[in-house]
Amino acid sequence: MDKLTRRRFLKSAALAASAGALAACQPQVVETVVRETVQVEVEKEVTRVVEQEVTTLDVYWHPAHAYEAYKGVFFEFEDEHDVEVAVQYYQWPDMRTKLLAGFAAGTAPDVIEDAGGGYSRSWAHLGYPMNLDPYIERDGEEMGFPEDWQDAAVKRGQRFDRNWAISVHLTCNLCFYNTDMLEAAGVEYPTDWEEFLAVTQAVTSDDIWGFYVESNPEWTWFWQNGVVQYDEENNTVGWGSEEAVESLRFVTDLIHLHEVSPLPTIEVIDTGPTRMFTAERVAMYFTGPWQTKPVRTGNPDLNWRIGQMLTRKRQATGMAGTNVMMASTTEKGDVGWELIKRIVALETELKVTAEAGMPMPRKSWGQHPDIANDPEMAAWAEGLTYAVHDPAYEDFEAEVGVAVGDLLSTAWQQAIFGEAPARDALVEAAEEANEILADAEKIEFEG
Amino acid sequence: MRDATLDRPLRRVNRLGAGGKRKLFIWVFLAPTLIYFAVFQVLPILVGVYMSFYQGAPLLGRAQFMGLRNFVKIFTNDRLFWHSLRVTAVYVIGSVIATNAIGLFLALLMNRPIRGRGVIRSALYFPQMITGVVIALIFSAMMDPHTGVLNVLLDKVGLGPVRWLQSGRTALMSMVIVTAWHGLGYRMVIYLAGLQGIPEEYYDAARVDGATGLAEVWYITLPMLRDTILFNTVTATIGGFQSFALPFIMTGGGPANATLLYAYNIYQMAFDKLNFGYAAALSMVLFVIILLLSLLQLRIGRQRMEYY
Repeated sequence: MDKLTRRRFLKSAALAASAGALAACQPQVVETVVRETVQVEVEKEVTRVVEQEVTTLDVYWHPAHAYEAYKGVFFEFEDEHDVEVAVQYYQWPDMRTKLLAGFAAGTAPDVIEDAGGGYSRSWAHLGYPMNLDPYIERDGEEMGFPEDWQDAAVKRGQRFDRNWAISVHLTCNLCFYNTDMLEAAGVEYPTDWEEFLAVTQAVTSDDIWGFYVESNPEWTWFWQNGVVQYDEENNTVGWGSEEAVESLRFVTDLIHLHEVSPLPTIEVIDTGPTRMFTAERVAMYFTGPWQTKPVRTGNPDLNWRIGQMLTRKRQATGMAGTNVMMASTTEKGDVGWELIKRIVALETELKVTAEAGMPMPRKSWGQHPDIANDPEMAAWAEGLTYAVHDPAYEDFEAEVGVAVGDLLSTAWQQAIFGEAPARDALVEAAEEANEILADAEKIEFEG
Repeated sequence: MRDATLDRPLRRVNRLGAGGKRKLFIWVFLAPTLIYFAVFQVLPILVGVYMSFYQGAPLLGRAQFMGLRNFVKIFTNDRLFWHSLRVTAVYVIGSVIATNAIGLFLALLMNRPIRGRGVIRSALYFPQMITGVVIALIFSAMMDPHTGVLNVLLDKVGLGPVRWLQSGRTALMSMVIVTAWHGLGYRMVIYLAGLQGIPEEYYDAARVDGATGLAEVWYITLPMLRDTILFNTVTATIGGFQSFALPFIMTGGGPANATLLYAYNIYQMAFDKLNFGYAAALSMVLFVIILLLSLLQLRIGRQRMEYY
C-alpha cells in the first residue's frame, strides 16, 4: 500500500475539494466520493479521499413498458458499465411536458422512449433529438440496423434524411374478441363492415355490448374506407371526403342507431374498454398488444383471441409502437448509445415478447421459431403486413398539426357524444382545418 | 495597544445611526424573502411578459417577434379563446356559488353545539387535504358511465344512468360538483372563523327584539360576514380561473371542447402546440381578467360598510 507523504496528502485533499465542488455543480456526473483507510508512516490510520467517477444515465420510459426484461437490461448495464441507470416513468402526455420543460431548462434526460416518433420526428427541426447517424455508421452493421428492421419501423425514426430514433416496439391495432360470447351467439369473427355489424347485433344483449367505440378518432375506420390524413398534393386534410363521412356515420350508428356499443368513457387515461372487456361486458374492441398483459391479468379465465382488422375498400389498421432516442443535449451519448443497443437487441426483444406479448420491429424476431410458432404473435405479424404508416402535417410546426387534429377530435366527439350529423361535423371541421393549412408555412430544416 | 482594524466595521455601523442600523437589520432579514420573491415570482412574470410578444419558443428555441399581434389575434381571430373563456366563466360562477353556499350552510350548522361536531368538521375538511389530481382520478372512476359507483347506485334506486362526463350539457356541471366537494371544507372553515368573530350580544339584542332565526342570519350574520364572503368569493374566483387538473385528468377538455377551461387551453397551446409565446399572451390576458374581476369584487364588497 502506498505511503502517505505530505505532498500526496495535499494532492488528495485538493482532489477531494475539487471532487466535492464538482459534485455540487454536477451531481449527475460525479455521484460519490469514496474514502479508504490507509496505513501511514507514523502508524496512524487516516482517511485518504479517492475519486471514483460514477456516471448516472437518466432515462424516461413509459410505465406500461416497465417490463422485467428491460429492468434486467438496465441492471446488467449498470454492472457492466459501472453506471447508474436512473429510470423515470411517465405517461405520454406527462412525458411530453417534462421533456419540453427539460429541453428548455437544459435538464433533459439522456435516453428517452419516444412515442412512435411523436417526439423524435416532430422535434427534429427544433434540435432536441440527437442525430444518430454517426453511431449507426459505426455500429449499424454489427447490430443489424437498418437491414434487420422492417422498412416502416426504420421510417418511424427518420426525418430530413437522418435517423433520430431506433424502433423498439412495432405494433398495430387489431380486434380483441371474446370467443365464448361469439360462440354463444352462433357467429363467426367478421371480415368486413356488414358482417361486423351483424356480429355485434347478434352478441349484444341486456348486459353485453357487441363492441366498444373509442372516444377519440379511431383512424382504423377511415383507413379501411380509403381515407388518408393529409392530401399533400392539394395541401388539404383527407378527412373531409364522402368516405370519411360514411366511416364516421357507421361508427356513430353503432352507438346511437344500432345500440351495439356503449357511449364511451371520456378520460385522458382511457382504460374503459379494457375494463369492460375483462369484465365481460363487451365482446370486441380495437386495441394493441400493450393491452395483452392487462387483459391477461385483469381476467385470467377469459377466453379471447386476436382477430384481424376488417376490410371495406381495403384491409387496414394503424401502425404504432415506440422508438428510443437520445437528447441532443446529453454529454453521455456514447454510454446512452450502448444502452440503446442492449434495449433493441434480439435477445431483449424475445424476452419482452415472452413477458408481455409485444411485437417487435426486427425481421429476425419474426423469423425466430418462438415467434413464428406462436399464434398470438403470428396475428400481430399478419396485422403489420397491412398496417398503415400515415404521418401527417410533418412539414408544419407542431401547432398546425395539433390544431388540425383537435378539429377532427372535436368533430368526432360532436358526432359521438352530441349526436351531430357526421357530415355536418366533419365537413365544417375540414373546412376550418384546410384554412389553417393554407395559412401555415412549411418548416425549413436548417440542419 | 489596540488593533484599529477591528474597529472599522463597527464605526461604519455606528455612522449609520440608530435608525440606519434598524433599517439595515430590516433589510437583512427581509433579503431572503425578497430574493425568493424576485427570482421565483417577479422574474417569471417579466419573462412571461417578454415571451408574450413572440411566436414559438422564445428563450428556448425558435421564435419570431410578433409585437402586439398575439394579443390582436386573441381578441379577433381565436375561436378557442372565446370558447374557453365562456366555459370557464360558467364553471367559475357555478363553482363559486356552490362552494360558498354549501360552505356557509355547513359553517352555520357546525357553529351550533351539536354532538360530534369536531369529528364532522374534520370529515368535511378532509377532501381539502387530497390533491386535485387524485380527486380527478377518483371521480373519473366514480363517474364512469358503465362501471362507476355513482351510476350503479342511481341504477339501484331507479334513477337510471347519468352521462356525467359523456355529454356537453353535463360534463361541465360534473366538474363543478367535483370542485364543490373538494373545496367546501376549506370555505366552511373560513366561514366558521368569521362566524366565531361575531359578538354574541348582537344576537341577544335581536332576540330581545323578537327576531327569528332566519332574521338573525339575514340581518346580523350575513352583513357581519361581508369581509369573509368577499375573501371566499375572490379566492374561489381566482382558483376557478386557474383550474387545470380536472379537465387535464377527467375529460381532456372534451367532449367536443365542452370542458375546455382557460388554463387547460393555455397548457395545450404551450405543450401540445409548442407556441409558448402565444400561451404567454393568453396568460397575460388571464392575469388582467383576474385582476379586473378581483378589483370589481372588492369594490362591490366594500360599498355600504355601514348597515345600521
